[in-house]
Amino acid sequence: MKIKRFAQISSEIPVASMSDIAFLLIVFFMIVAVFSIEAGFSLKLPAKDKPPLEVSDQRIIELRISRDNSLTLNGKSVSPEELGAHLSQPGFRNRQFVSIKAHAKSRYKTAVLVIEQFKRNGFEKISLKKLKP
Amino acid sequence: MKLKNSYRIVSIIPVASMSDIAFLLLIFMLLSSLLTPQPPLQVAPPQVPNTAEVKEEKGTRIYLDASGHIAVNEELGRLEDIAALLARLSVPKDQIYLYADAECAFEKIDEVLAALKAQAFEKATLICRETPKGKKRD
Repeated sequence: MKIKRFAQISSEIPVASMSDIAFLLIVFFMIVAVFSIEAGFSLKLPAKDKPPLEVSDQRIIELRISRDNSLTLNGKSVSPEELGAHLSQPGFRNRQFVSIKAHAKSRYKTAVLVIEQFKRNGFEKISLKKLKP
Repeated sequence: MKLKNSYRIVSIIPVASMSDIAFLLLIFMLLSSLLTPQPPLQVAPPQVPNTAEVKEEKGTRIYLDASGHIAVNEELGRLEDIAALLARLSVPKDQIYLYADAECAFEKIDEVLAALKAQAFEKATLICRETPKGKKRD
């Protein structure tokens, strides 16, 4: 009778695909790192002991946010959708300073949407102030 | 005369150290990349159509929800405790990222900004979510 020979079992761990796994992990981490980029607005906070800047009224755009989140631009009522169109008018272009006065109970979302509209229209000097309830 | 045998030039690129290089790159990526931590408070920042991208560097994260709960990095508290929480920071005048809920009352944001100003912080970033393309803002 012919006895079959057993195949010899290799005791080595195959490491040929190690570099492939490592490169796949690198690609994964590179993609995940991109996700940590957030969107937002950077604000420069005023210095603690700095006196307030005096600016003439002709150079200021005043926007008020009322308790019910309605907007008033230089005394005239505007809707959030119309705000961008108003700001692109020539009368506003030569005004450099924006003063946003929000009611204490108004929503933060409204203030952010307003800041976004001003930033989109090229206004960079924006001040935020809370109106007393 | 006996002629010398010329050496044969091997045309194989050695790839044995490839996995070592790959793992070194992997360790570098792990150490240098900033992994977003699990937020200590669930907040939904406001959605806006166009925002500038903010590259998050290592800084202090402040989370503020609509009911007045606050978290400075991992430390939870009430909005009234913000001055104490900011004073306990290990890196005092760090970059600030403010994750505030869209439904927050403006007075709460003002209180946070006033506390930051009082402790001589110079810059703060209001974190927002960008409105998905083709969707109207809420």
